[in-house]
Amino acid sequence: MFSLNLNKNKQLIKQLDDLFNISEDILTEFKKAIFYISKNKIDSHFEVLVNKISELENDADEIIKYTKYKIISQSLLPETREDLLEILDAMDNIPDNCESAAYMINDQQLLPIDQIKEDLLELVDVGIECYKYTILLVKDFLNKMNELHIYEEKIDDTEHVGDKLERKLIHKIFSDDSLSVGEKILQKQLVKEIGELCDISQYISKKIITASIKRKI
Amino acid sequence: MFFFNNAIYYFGAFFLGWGLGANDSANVFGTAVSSQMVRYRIAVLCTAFFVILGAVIQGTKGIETIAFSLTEKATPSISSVSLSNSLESNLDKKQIKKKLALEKAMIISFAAAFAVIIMTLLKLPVSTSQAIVGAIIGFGLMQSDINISGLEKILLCWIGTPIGGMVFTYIFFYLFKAIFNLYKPSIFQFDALIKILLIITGCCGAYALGANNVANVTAVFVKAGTLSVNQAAWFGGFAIAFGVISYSKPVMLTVGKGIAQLDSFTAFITVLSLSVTVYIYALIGVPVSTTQAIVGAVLGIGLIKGTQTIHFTTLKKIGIGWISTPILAAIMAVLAFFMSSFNT
Repeated sequence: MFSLNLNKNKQLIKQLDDLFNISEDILTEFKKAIFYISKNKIDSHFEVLVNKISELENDADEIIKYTKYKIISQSLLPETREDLLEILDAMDNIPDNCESAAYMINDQQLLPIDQIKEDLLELVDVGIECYKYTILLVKDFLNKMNELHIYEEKIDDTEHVGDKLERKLIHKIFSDDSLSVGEKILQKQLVKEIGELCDISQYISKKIITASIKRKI
Repeated sequence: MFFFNNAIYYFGAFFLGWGLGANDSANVFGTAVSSQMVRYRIAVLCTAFFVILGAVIQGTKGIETIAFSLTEKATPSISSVSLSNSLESNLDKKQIKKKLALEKAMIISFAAAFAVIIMTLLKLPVSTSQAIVGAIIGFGLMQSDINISGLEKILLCWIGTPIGGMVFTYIFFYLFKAIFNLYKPSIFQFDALIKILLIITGCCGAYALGANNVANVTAVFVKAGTLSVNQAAWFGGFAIAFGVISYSKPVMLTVGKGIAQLDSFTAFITVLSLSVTVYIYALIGVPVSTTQAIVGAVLGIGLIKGTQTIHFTTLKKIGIGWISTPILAAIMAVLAFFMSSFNT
């Protein structure tokens, strides 16, 4: 019975690993797309990248749906089930956010202005770094929970850097007199969308820390 | 054959056993089932099986305590309790004596069962152990037939039940905390392990319930000389198991949630403490209340986690139930005694 339960749980762990991998793939594609438009214009190649992000996001949705089903049907304790479902829902926001930002650029033909390009790329990197720590945090939560606070601290620090960058970018956008108010708002929306990556990571991290405190004997 | 001819007399005992099974199984698996840690079907099957096993293997000692320690006379004399004089002309003296003893047992069972029903209707926590002992004492008082030394032993054990539950909770909580912190299982390993532990401790609890509480159901018939100790254990075991199978679900779902909000680990600790406490009393041979054992265990968790988690209104209710159940059962038995006397 015990080994049967553990085998079922191994399948669930594999599903979660697949989700982590696909989320990292989405972030890599998203980074490529942002790097591309910072040097080029919105063209068919960018559209290919957007489509790739969208496909990966669909795959991530499928994995999340299947993993949720597994969690519900699995012989897990209700408190674990509840925590894992909440964490999954929060993790689902990362692919959604990347897809939404990519669509925003593509559909609204929204190229970042030259003054913010460099910092925007840095913001993407910070968001990716933050999410990588989040994946490590989730993995540690599913294992021995030895390094939760180390990762939590790293996520908080990275998120703080992301926040500072976001404010700097918004300040730059609104300091540029050559832009109309509408353009400024659109640019700000793009920055906010990308900056959201760090916020989502921090939200997941808080959820995990709360869940780990609940499980503390 | 005698059993089948007098089935009506055993109905009270069966009724009491049914109520006990329906109510007390919640103490064993209630927390695990209500919080969906263990499936109801598994819980019911395990409880029914282990209740019978406990009753048959280790229930005899408690039966002997209830049957022979509380009152001194083996069976009532014809002159002291003349309940059915219409039969006197048709049956020989031995049979009449047996019949009277059986009627006494029936009165005690029904008095206890009604006390349990009244307390349940008043929404007060009820112990069938206390009800049956109260009824025996009530009836014994009317016949000036009370064994004080036997009563002292039982009263001491009643006080010791919640204290035992609390003490074992303290011990097991820190022991298992140390083990879990040393081994550090992943959340998936922890879940699988705790589920298995909940089922194992639930089965142990059911075994202890059967071993300890079967005496409440059928010991009076052993005293009456109509059932042997082994027959009483089997009959009582099946009556409790029937209660578990037929009507434990609503009680399991409400009582399990009502006692306290426990997480999986503390639920395991409380059931383990209950099982050990009740099992020790089964070895001593004194029927005690599983409700009081689990209340003591939950109180222990409350003291470990902080007194702010203790629900004092519930505690007050438990205290009222603790004192009033045996008194009410004794009053019911006295009333039944007078009613039966008026009939003669």
